[in-house]
Amino acid sequence: MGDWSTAFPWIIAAIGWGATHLFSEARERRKEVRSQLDKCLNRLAKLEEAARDFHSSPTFDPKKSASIVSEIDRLERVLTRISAIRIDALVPSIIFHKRSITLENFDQSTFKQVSPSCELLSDINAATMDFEDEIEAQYRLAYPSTFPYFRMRRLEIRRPPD
Amino acid sequence: MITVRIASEFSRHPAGRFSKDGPYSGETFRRKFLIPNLGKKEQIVIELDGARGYGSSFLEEAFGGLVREGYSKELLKSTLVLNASNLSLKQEILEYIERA
Repeated sequence: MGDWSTAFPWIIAAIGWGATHLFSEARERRKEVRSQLDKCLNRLAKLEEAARDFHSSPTFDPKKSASIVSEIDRLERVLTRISAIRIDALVPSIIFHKRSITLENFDQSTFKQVSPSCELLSDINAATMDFEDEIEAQYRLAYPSTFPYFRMRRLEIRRPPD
Repeated sequence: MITVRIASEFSRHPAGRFSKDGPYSGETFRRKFLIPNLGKKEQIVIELDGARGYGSSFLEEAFGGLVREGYSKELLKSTLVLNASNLSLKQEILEYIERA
């Protein structure tokens, strides 16, 4: 007849191993997500730079406008693939950001070179910052800065809203 | 039900607000694809995937322009079925219809 007390060290070791594994896994995932988001934030900063350059140019450049539209589209696709991001919550920021760059002064017939201090460029800057803040808020929601440093999320199937 | 695939039937590079901005503008899309099909009184499925992105001015002119041409917002919201893998596109278009 085995003595239960001999099993305790093994149980403690197994629980310890499980906890270490869980936290190590969460830390790795957090690092991976952080790296993906940093790349997105970098793209966002470059996008703002490209938008400033486009709107400040003396003449309309169709290549630059096409490249900006394509990059905005791609950025949303990339964000959709990041597990910590709930893209439906980001949609208002995505639209606000895109609109700030591509709604006004974005077509050949209406294009005018803008000054560095104009409202359009300020709006682009504000929309970019809001977008960054929203991305960071999503990250903090998935990976809070307090113990246990990650949030258990229920599995959910992402469906587009009706 | 009518299906309009923008990338294959119109352009993979839709751009510009007015016809004078280029051959694949929002105004041209509205005139050639949306208005003729709205007259058929069927649901119109618009496949937005496949194009290299849409500028807001293109979308505003194509869809918001329908309201300015006299189509009611209710009719447009019940007739147009927007399919896009980017969630923001559908929402953005609905906002232009609502605000026009």
